[in-house]
Amino acid sequence: MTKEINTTRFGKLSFPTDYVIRFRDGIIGFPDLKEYVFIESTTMPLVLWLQSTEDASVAFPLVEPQLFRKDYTYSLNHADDAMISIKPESKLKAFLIMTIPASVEHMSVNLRAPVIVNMTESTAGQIILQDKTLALRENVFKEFQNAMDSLAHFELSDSEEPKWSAHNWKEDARRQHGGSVPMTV
Amino acid sequence: MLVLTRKIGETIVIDDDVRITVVQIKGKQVRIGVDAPKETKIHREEIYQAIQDENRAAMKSMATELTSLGQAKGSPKKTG
Repeated sequence: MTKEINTTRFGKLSFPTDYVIRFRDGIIGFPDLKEYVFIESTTMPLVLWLQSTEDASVAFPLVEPQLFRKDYTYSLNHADDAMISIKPESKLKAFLIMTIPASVEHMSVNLRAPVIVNMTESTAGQIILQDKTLALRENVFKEFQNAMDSLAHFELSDSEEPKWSAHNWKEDARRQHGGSVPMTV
Repeated sequence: MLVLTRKIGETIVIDDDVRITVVQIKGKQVRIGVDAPKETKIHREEIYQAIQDENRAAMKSMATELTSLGQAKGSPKKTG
């Protein structure tokens, strides 16, 4: 079964309904929006967009933490486990929500409250880490530019329009992608 | 908001399984103990508010800003 939504940023998108990831508690500040798809673009490989399937105007840019912090780790407490239906066999992936203001040099990521995706259950949630040294707004402009530079094959011609498509998490779970479950504290 | 007055050591019970106890009062600070089922999310309000604000800012991000960054970096190349 497919679903189609008409998004403000990416236009019309259609995707199989099993690509939808359920956030039991939504994203912090947006508790009523519980269903999202992850949108990727052929022309911007570093950013995944978390697009609400219930509100066409709501989307958040996500990046992998390892792009900026190779040693990024997180721990989950029992409340987090319950929120994201985490079981010992769950395959998880972490993302940071990025903020891209009009002046791009101020782009930042939220290290303190990552989005954790449970690929096995098609659920996700935004958790709050206890480590006070993790910034809510960590400037990543330089690292992002470096990462773009190191994509040797990245070529954007004048006429190329971004192609957007929804990510298939079930396929990733099946292929055993993703890290092991961090220890519950 | 329901406002109750408690002395040190006294407790408020919410929904049968959440217990909030005044542990200590020292000057202007109150130490509050929370006893709740382990699946209960508990946070200081300021961090919650700050994350909410940051999420709202993130939502205002436009895909076009990133694309323009890409276009600034990637020069038009002929393939083949």
